[in-house]
Order: sequence, then structure tokens, then C-alpha cells
Amino acid sequence: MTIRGEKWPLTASRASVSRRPRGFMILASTLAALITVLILYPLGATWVSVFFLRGDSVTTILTATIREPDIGKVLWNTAVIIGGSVLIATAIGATLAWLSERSDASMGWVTRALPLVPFLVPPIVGAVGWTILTAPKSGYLNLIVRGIASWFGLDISTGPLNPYNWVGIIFVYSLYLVPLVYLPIAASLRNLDPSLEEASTSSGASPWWTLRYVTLPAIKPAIGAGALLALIYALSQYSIPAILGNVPRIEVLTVRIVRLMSVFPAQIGVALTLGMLMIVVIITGLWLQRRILSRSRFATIGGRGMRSTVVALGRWKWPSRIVMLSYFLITTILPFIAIVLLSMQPFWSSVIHWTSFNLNNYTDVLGGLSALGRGARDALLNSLSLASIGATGSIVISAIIVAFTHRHWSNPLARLTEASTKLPGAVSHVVIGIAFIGALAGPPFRLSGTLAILLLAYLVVTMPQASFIVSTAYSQVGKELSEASFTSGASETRTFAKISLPLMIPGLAAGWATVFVLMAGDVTVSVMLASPGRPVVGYEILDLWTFGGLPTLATIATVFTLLSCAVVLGALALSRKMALVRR
Amino acid sequence: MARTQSDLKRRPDSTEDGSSQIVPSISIENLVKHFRRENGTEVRAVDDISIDVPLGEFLVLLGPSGCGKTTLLRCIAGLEKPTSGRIATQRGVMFDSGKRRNVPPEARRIGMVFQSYALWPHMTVFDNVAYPLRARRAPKAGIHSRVTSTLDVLGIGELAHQYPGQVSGGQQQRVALARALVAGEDTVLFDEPLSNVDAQVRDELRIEIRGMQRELGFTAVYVTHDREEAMGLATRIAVIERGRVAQIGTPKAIYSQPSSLHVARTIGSTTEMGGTVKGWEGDHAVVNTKLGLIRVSTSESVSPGDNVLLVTRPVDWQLDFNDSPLVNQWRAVIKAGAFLGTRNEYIVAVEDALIHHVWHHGEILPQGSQVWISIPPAAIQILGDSDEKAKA
Ligand SMILES: Nc1ncnc2c1ncn2[C@@H]1O[C@H](COP(=O)(O)OP(=O)(O)OP(=O)(O)O)[C@@H](O)[C@H]1O
Ligand SMILES: [Mg+2]
Repeated sequence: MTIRGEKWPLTASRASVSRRPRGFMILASTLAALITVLILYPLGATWVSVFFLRGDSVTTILTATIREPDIGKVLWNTAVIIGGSVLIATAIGATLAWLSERSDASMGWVTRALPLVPFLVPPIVGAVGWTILTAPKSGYLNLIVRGIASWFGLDISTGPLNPYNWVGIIFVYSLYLVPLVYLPIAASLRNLDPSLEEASTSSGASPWWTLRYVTLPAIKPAIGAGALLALIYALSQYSIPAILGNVPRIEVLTVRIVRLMSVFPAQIGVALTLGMLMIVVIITGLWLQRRILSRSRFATIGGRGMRSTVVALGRWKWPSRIVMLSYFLITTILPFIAIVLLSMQPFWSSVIHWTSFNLNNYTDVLGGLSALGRGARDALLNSLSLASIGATGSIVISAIIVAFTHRHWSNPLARLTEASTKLPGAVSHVVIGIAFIGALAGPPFRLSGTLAILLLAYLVVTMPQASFIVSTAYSQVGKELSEASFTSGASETRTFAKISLPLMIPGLAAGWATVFVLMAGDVTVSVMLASPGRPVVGYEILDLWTFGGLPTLATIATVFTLLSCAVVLGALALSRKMALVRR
Repeated sequence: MARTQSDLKRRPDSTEDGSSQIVPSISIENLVKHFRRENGTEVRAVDDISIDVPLGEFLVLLGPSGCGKTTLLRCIAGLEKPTSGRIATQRGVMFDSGKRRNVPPEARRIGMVFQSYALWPHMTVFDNVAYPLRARRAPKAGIHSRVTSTLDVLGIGELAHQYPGQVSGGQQQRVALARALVAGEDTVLFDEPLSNVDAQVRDELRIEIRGMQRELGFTAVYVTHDREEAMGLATRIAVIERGRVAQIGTPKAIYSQPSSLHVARTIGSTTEMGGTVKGWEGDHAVVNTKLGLIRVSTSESVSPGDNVLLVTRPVDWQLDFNDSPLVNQWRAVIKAGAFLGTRNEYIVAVEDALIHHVWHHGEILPQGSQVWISIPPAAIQILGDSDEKAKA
């Protein structure tokens, strides 16, 4: 064959039908198998060894669990705090979502920034920040309130605010649950067919009537999903109760489990039983959600791209905006200011010494001058390197696995891997911590106290988020683009490297940032697995909180928060830029 | 370009049963593909299809939406794994459910043009087109000249350094075409490649695709639901109905001898009449219809009393202003008319019976005009019993 004098088939017509070694397939299935083992093995091995291999019978373990001192009270506390904060967060989250999606109080950046709050100031920093603001004696807000009161001749010695009680704990919990509820509800409102609401308005219904009888029922599944996410997250939350619950002796399940695992010998049987109680709650939640979803099959989602009419709030517009802005004030700005102020003080006292502001704490921490400073510096360095390595590994592995599972869906390994990567989302992080201690800390692996066990545990707990984001990025690339590569004769390896991966970069950048911040800011797993010799940020902050060293704590928290913000905003900017290029 | 006998013999691969006939470019045997919908019901997208496509043929798959055209094409390309059956090309067996053989798409040497173009947005036009050559490790020196000449042939040489997002829809389709042709595959599959471009570009590209196919001599399998496109491109058309081949043949054969009403309707507009066979008059069958007696010249062996369906094409109806000695001629009244640019189209009434789509050139006739219409006996197709009609 020729065209314009050229011999047409340019490439050798080799007998290409013979099976070539499929490099990508081998790599991907090995990785998929490894990740599946990493997720399933510790859970399975610990479970089997605790309930079947050790001397204690199941009845002994159950009896010990029931005999556990104050266990009824702990469960009650957990139920009240989680129930209360999930309810409050759902109400606030839904209101904020409605305001920013459906009313003229909306401010563009609010919508975009709200879900980022827990990334910008992680809960542990928020909890410490709020304590510094509202501690009865030296809380900065209390100082201000008392200062104002003294102008009016009122002399108060402590308070009036106090974080160490039910209200304080539920308040801080709720703050950090709001974004989890907000995200699905806002998405659902955005996708809701506007003609549903328009039909109601044009039948003469008032906006409130429409909201009550049309909008709310239509977004019920999203509200349920948000509340469930909040519930799962709240159940695993360790940093807030550890920081605020100690003084008023309000202990919750996570705190008790971590304590059971840190005494010697570790009460692993009781801890695991309590952990399974959490799993039962989560699975019941997931099951309920499924039922709600399957019954509301007919909820109309569609008409995307259509801009729905916004409700004019009139004189409520500015008050609503102020409410939205104060959410940022409360969750991020105030606690961060408190921490920054404290980080520049030699110690925390009920008088702010404006003259003694200096950066000594920073030179101490960054230079590793004192023992305290060195510990803090080690923690920062360990966390940052673990998170960079972990996030990179996690995203690359997820990308390869996602490409593999999408193409070889009929392969049983692909399905098993897909299910396994979702599993850590339904298993409380505390339980994963127990499993890692049970299976990997001792012989034969002996990883106790190493950075390796932390890295592996971080990989496991962030796997659901990583694979979700990567999977979304992969589906956005469009199936035909990789199919066109296959029909062009490219192998799976080449298709992945030249087509899927470059096109996924914007999504991967966002995924990398998410995983980085989750790993670097982790507290629950870190507290259980880190050791004084190999500290990480979450571990170190709690340690400094418990044994004193607040200015150093505030310094690490400031540095860490600034770094997280830089990483998140940097990744967002990068992914936006990459997405715009050449489209 | 002359494709000689030695060219054909260049491919020595013989089929597994050892026959040394000219090997079909693609041979599909008893191919079945089932899908399971989310709700558990099973869809037979491809339902026992067998087709042999000879080398150099331009086969068009024509059929209504959802009849399984895309699925069949994707099975050939290897992008979909059939439920059962066998697919072979002149390079060997690509899929065989019995032998658990399934060659991945990248090893099949079958090019494909996607309906959505599927150009890679992060690569320039040049890199998009060079990709199949690079993937097949072609010598570096050859790649540049090959890509450039391919782009030139398709008239998009000056776009080489643009990104796909920066060129028009028609140009994107040319790039997709260049990418499918550049490696010189034996077979190229097209999935409705022209459905996203406007009418004028469509006509242009259709002619170019046919020209390229003749020049390069690849075997083409082309999916469309546009009958004009099918007629214009095909050496053979396969009409697909609900996952099965309803009829396969040259455009002419399918147009003039459709095997079923479905095929007749798929390939062009029809005017249909039910009737009962009355008897034979020489080599004409006489059929009693709502228009009265119609004479049909047919090779179909019908006998008196049979219920039959008469199928005609609008273009075969003749409209006259005076009575002339023709068979099958009736007095008629114009009920409605429309000017369609190249012709006028009328609905006419013969007593109570209406006949749609009667074409005529010339001045448009007012409603109520008295005319004569006629249809030559050879232009009428007899199809079996009118239960076909009930199904349709
Ligand atoms: N992945 C799938 N899962 C389930 N059903 C499918 C899938 N792909 C196709 N089908 C079904 O198979 C049938 C044939 O689909 P196909 O895409 O081959 O039709 P088509 O002839 O190409 O139609 P069109 O002209 O509209 O492109 C349809 O009923 C379709 O719903
Ligand atoms: Mg199709």
C-alpha cells in the first residue's frame, strides 16, 4: 500500500496476536493485592487472634468489657455528645448550604471555602485554640469580656466562658462536623431540578412553604448522607474529647479505647469489643441510609446547568451573611489568632504581656534548641515527611489500582480491592489502630514504635478518600480517551502513563493535598502507634497538652496550620491551572 | 492505488482449520453479547450475529438507535468482551469463547474512529496522530514524515501544532480520522463518525472517507443510522434489527429487494398497502387492494388468497395530468402538497385511500387538483403476510 509514494504500513506487521507480557497488569494486580492484604490482614489477624487464638474465651472478654469501670457512663457520654453534635451540625450545615446555594445571601468564595475549613485548621488545633480562648482563668476571650465588664464596675475573677463542660465539647464537635454535612447537601441542592421549586412557587406557594414541602423532601437523602458522614467522623474523633474532656471528666468511647490500648498489658480484647460496638453503629447507619435511598428512587435529580432562581432574603440578607462569615471566624480565624498569640508568649497567663512578644519559641522549635523544641521539631519533620511520602504513594497506588479495576472489572481481584479500599471508611480509625497494634506491632513484624507502622496505618485510613478522589478524576477523563489509546495499539502501561495519568493530574493534585493534610493532621492513629522516640504532630500536640509546654504546642500548631494551608491552597491553584490549560 | 493479487497473498496467515482460501478480513461467527442492566434484566445487545467481511470491503451497519451497532463494533475492536462466539481477522483468532481466547484491543491492529472523536486534549494534533506510530515503536525518522503526509492528505497540515480544543468540530473529526489511518491498519472501525458535524462538512468528509478507503485499501466497518450515508459509502450494508442481522447485501439489493418491512423502512421511505392475491395474469400477480386491482411483476411464488403487503418507494410513483395507457393507474385528487426544494411532495387521495410522499417536479399543484398517479409493476415489492405490518 502506498500513499504519496510512501509505503503505508510503517511498522512491522509482527505477529502481534501472541500474548505480550502485560507489565501494567502485573504491576497493578500486585499493588491491588498488597493494598488489599494491608487493609484486611491486620483487622482479620487481630480479630482472629483475640477471639480465637488467645487463652481467654469470648465470654471472658465480654464479661471483662461489661465489668469495665464506668463503661455505662462512657457509652452514655458518647451517645449524648455525638447525638447532640450531629443534630446541631446537620441543622447548621443544611442552613448554610441553603443560604449559599439558594438565597441571595450567597457569596461565591464561601461556598468554595467552607468544606476546606477542617483542612485549614485541623480539629486538634481548633480544640486547643478554643481552650486558649475560653479557659475560665486565662482564656483570651474571657480576658476581653472581663476587661469590658470591669469598665462597668463589674469585677469577675473567672469565666464567664468555659470550654470544659458538655456545652463546650458539643460546640467544638459541631464546628468540625458542619463541613461534612454541608458538602452533600450543597451538591444536592445544586443538582436539584429547579423546575420542582418553580412549579411550587408558580402554584402560589410561599418560599417557606416551598422549602418545607418541596425542597426539603427532595434533598432528604443528602441530609441523611451528610448526617451519616458526620456520625462516622464523630465516632472516631479523638482529639477534641482528649483535650476538652479530661478536666470535667467527660470520657467518650475513643478516649477509653485508646487508654485501654496504652496500659500495660494492653487490654486488646476489651478494646476490640468496644471498637466493634462502633462498627455496629456505623454499619446500622449505612444500612439505614441504603433503605432511605432505595425508597426515594424517584427524587428528581437532573437539569444540571440550569441556574435556579434564588430566594431574595430582603432585610435578612446581611444578617445571614454575617452568620456565614462568623462560621469562619469561629472555626478558623479566632482559634488561629489565639494560637499565634500564645506562640509568641513565653508562657500562658491571665495577663497578655504585650512587651514580651517575641519569636523565641520559633527559634527554639525550628532550631531544636531545648529538649522540648527538639521533640517538636522531630514531630514536625516526621509528620511532613510521612505525609509527603504517604500522600504520593497513596495517590500513585490509587491511580494505578483505579485504572486496573476500571478496565478489568470482571477480575475478582479488582472487585475485592475495590471493596477493601472502601472498608476503612466504615471501620473506625480507633479499630484500625487496634488492629495494627495487634497484628504488626509484635512478632513477627515487630514494627512497634517505628515510622513504618505509622506510614502503613496512614495509608490504610486514608485509602477511602484517596481512591474516591482518584476514581472521580479517572471517570472525568472519559472512557473513550483510553479506549482510543488501546485501539491505537498502545499497551496498558503506555495508556496509563501517556493518557490517563496526565489527564488526571488536576484531580490527583487535589487528592494529594487532601491525603497529605489528613495524614499530617492525624491524631487518632498517631496517638496509638507513635512513640516518644518517633513523635508526629498529632502525638506531640497531645503530649505537650498533657505534660505542659503550651507555647511550644502553639508554635507547632501555628507552623503546621500555615503549612497545611499552603499545601491545600497550592494544590488547588495548581489543579485549577492545569485544568484550564489546553481545554 | 493498485492492490494486486500478490498484495493479498502477502498475508499468509491461514485460518485455524487450514483452509487456504482468500481469508476474510474479519470473520464473525455466532457472536452474542448480553448486558445486565442495573435492575437485573438482561439485554441481548448482539444476538447471534455471523458476518464475513472480505478484504477491502466497506461494510455499513445500519439500524435504529439501540439495536446493538456500537456494541458489535466494540466487540470487534476488543473493547467489549462478547458473551460467546468467535471473531477472527486475517491475523488470527481474536476472540473465541470456546477456547477462552481474547486478544486485547492493543494487539488486534484494528483502528477505530469514535463518535465523540476521543482526541487527547493534552496533546497537539501532531502528537495525537503520531501516537499510534509511537505506540507501535515505529522508527523515529519515519514518524514525522508519515504524520505530516497524513495530515496533509486530510487537509489539516497547518493545524499540526494546535491542541484539539483549538480547532473546529469538523477539523477534530479529520484529526480522529488521521489518527485511525496513520498506522496503516488492515481494518478501521467507524462509530457514527459524522453525527456531530454539520451537513456540509458531513458530505465532504463522507466523500473523503470513501476516497481514503479506496486508496489505502483497508477494510472498513462503519456504523450509522443515516441511510443516505449508508448508501453513499457501502459496498455492502448490513441492516441490524434488535441485535440480529435482518439483511445483508449491496445497497442496490437491499433497496430494491428488502427481505422485510423493517428493512424496507430502514433503507428508505415506503408507501405500503395490504391486499389479497387474486390470481396471475401472465407474469404479473394481481393483488386486490384499497386502490383496486394492482399488477405486480414478481418472482415471489404467491397463490390466490394469500394476504400480502405491497411496498413501494415514493420515488417510483408517477404523477401525470392526463390519462395514458399505463397499468396501475388511478385518478387522484391532491390533498396536500409541500415544496421541498428539489421536488414537490404530495399526499394524494384515490377515492378514500390516501397515498403519502408522491414526488413530482415542476410547478406546485393546488389542493384539489385532479391528477393521475401510477406505479410500474416492477417497482412494487411483495412481502409475505401482513402480520409484519401488525408487528411494525
Ligand atoms: N454497558 C451497558 N450496560 C447495559 N446495557 C448496555 C450497555 N451498553 C449498551 N447497552 C444496551 O445494549 C443495547 C445496544 O446498545 P448499542 O449502544 O450497541 O446501540 P446502538 O445501536 O449503537 O445505538 P445508537 O444508534 O443509539 O448509538 C441497548 O439497548 C443498550 O441499552
Ligand atoms: Mg451507538
